[in-house]
Amino acid sequence: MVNFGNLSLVFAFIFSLASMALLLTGLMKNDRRFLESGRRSLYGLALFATLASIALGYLFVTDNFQVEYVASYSDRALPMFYKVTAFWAGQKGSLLFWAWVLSIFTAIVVRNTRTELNSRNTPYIYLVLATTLSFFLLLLTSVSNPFELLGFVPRDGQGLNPMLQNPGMIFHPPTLFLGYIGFTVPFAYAISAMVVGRLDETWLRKTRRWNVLSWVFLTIGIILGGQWAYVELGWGGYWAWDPVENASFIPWLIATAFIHTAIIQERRNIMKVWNMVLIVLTFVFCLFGTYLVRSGVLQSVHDFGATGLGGYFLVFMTVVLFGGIYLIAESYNDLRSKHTLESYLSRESTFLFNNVLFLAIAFSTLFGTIFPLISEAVTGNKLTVSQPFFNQVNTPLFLILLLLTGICPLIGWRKASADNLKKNFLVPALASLAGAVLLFMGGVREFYPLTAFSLSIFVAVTIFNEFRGGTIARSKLTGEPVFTAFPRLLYKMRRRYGGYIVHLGLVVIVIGITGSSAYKLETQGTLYKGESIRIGSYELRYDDFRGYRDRNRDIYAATLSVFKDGKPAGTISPERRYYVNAEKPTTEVSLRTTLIEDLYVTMPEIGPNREITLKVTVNPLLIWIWIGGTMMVIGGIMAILPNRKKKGAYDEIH
Amino acid sequence: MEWAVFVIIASAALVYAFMPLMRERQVWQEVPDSRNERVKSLEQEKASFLKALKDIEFEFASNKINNDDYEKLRNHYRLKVAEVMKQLGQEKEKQGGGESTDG
Repeated sequence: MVNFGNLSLVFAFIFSLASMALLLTGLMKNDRRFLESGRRSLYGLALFATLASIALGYLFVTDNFQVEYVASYSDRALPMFYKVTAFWAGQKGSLLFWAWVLSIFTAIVVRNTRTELNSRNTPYIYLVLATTLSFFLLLLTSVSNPFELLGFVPRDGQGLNPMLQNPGMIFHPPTLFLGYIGFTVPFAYAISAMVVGRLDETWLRKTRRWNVLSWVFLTIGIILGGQWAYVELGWGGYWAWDPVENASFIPWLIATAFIHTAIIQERRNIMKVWNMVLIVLTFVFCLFGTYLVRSGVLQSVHDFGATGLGGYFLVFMTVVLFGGIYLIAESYNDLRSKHTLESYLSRESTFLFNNVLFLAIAFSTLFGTIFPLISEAVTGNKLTVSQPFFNQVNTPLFLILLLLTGICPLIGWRKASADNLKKNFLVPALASLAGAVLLFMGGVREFYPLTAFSLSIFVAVTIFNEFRGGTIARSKLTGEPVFTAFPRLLYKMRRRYGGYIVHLGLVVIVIGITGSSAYKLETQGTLYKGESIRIGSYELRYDDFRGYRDRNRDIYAATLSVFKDGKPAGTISPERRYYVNAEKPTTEVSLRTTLIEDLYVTMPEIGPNREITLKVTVNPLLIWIWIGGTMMVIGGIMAILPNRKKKGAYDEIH
Repeated sequence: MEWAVFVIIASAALVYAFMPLMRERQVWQEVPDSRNERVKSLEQEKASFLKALKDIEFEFASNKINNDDYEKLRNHYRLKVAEVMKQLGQEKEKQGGGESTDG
C-alpha cells in the first residue's frame, strides 16, 4: 500500500503539471482539444489525490509503522477512531489533506463549468487551481512525503499526542482546512477575471457560495479550536490558547471584510479594486495559516528552515501576493468604478468603515502573532507579546466594530435620511443607556465590560427592531398577515436576515467573552479527603479517589461534591491521565456548565497520600461563546441557501 | 495485485485525459460574441437597478428614508431602468429581434 500511495501521489503531481501544460498550450494555440484534455486531467488529479489519501488512511488503520509519518503519530494502543484522525495530526498529512480536498473542490468547479469551456475565463480558472495543486503536490512528493519509509520497522509507533486525543481532533483541523482551501476557488475566479479583463460582478456572483461557505468552515474551525483549547489545553485565555489559532483568525477577519464589500460591489458596482485586494490577501493568509499551523515555526525561528517547507511557502506566498498586486495594478483603470457613493450616510459607508477596522485588527493580530519571529530575527532574543498587547490594541477596535454592527441596520442602502436615522436610533440608544445604568447599579463599574455590555444591548435591540420592522414592511408591501410575513421575510430575504443572525451571534460571543474575562474567579489549593475548597458561591468537597485503566491510558480521578450557596449541586471528577507512549501525564478538565457560569476544575498534582492539588475557576457566561458561534454558523448557512423557483415580482428581487 | 490495480486505474485515467488530443483540431473561440456580452452586461445592470428599486421600497416601508428621499431615489432608479431597457431593446433588435430572456 506504501507503493500504491506513493505512486498515486506522483501521478497526482504529474496530472497537475500535465493539466497546466495542456491548458497553456490550448490557450497559446487556440486549440480546444488541449483545453479539454487539461480539463480532464484535473479529474485525473482528483482521482489520484483521493487514492493517495485512502492509502495513507489504510496505513494508519493497519499500523504500518515502517511509514515514518504513521510511526510518528500513531501506535497500536490508539483507538481506531483516533488512528483515522491522526491522518491530519502532522504536517505531511495536513498537506495531503489540503491537496486532496482542493482536488475535489477543483473537480466540482470543473463539473460546474463543463459547458463553459468556451468562456474566456474558464481555462484561467483551471490554470490557477492546477498551479496551486501543483505547489502542494510538489511539497508532498519532494520535501514532505507522508509515505516516506524508515530504515527499520519499529515494534510500535510513538503515538498521538494525548492533547490531540479529543473529539475536537475530528472536526477542528478539517473544518479549518476546508475554510482555507475553499478560498482558493474565489481567488482563482478573481485572478481569471483580471487576466481576461472581465471585471464585472460575474466572478463575485459565481463564487458567493464558495466565499460564504469557506467563511462558515473557518468560523466552525475557530470556534471548535477555542472549545477544544478550553477543555483540553487548560484554557490559557483569549489570544493565549495557541498562537497558531491566531493564524486562522487573520484570514477570517479579512474574509469577513471581503464578504461585506463583495455585497457592495454586487449591488453598486463599486469597490472592485478593494475586493480584488481583499481576496488576494485572504488567500495569502490562508496559505500562511496552513503553513504556520503545523510548522512549529512560532516555537523558534530556526524551525522555519528545519521543517524544510518555509522557503517553499515563502516563495509561493510571495508569487501569489506580488502576482496579485501586479494584476490589480495592470487592471486598475478598468477596475476603477464610474459609480460613486450617493451619500456618506449610507450602509455602504458603514461597510467601508468596518473594512478598515477588520483590517486593522487583522494586521495587529498578525504583528502580535509573529512578533517572536521578528524579535528573534532582529535581536536574537525571542520576545512574545501576549494577552495585554492584544487586549490593548484590539479591544477598542472590536468595540467600535460592535457599535458599527448596531448602526449598520439603522441605515438604509444608498442613502439614509438623517431624521429617520435619528428616529430609528432613539429606541436602541435609550435601551442601551437604560441597560448601562442598570448594569452600573448592579456592580458593573469597569469601563470595558460596561461599554461592551451596553453596546451589546444596543446592537441586539437594533437587530430585533430590524426583524420587527422588516416583518411590518413585508406585511405592508405584500398584504400578508404578520405571522406569515415573518417566516417568509426570513426565507425570501435570507441573505440579509442570515447576516443579521450572524451579527446577533457576534453580540452573544461578546457577552460571553466579556463575562468570562472580566469576572473570572480563580483559586488553587491542596486537599486531603474530606476537606473542601471555596470559590465564589461554590464549595467543593473532596470525597473519593480512584484509579483505573481505559484503553491506552491509566486514569486517576478524584470525585468532589459540589455545593452552590450551601445546597448540593452534583459532583465533578477531574482526572490525571497517563497515556501509553506519552512522557508526561495530562490533566482532564471537569466542567459544570450552566447558562450563567462554568465551574472549571483541573487537578494538576496528586500527592503520595492521595492529596490532590486543585485549580478551580468560575467562568461567567462562557457558554454563550459557543452558543454565539453556533448562531454565526447558522446565519452564514442561511445566507447561502439556494433559491427555489421564483414566484411573485416582489419575491423575485429579494 | 496492488501493482495490477494501479496500472489499470492509471491507464484508464491517462486514456480518459489524453483522448481529446486524438481528435481533429478544434479552434477554441477565445473571443466571445461581443453583442452577447453587451446584452448580458445590460441585463445585469437592469437586474441591479430593479434590485435598487426594491431596496428603496423596502427601506421606505421600514422607515429608513423619508418621503422626499424615497421619491427622489425611486424616480432616479426608474429612469435608469427605463434607459437600460431601451438600450437592451435596441441591442436585441440588432441581433435579429430574439426572444426576451429577462425575467
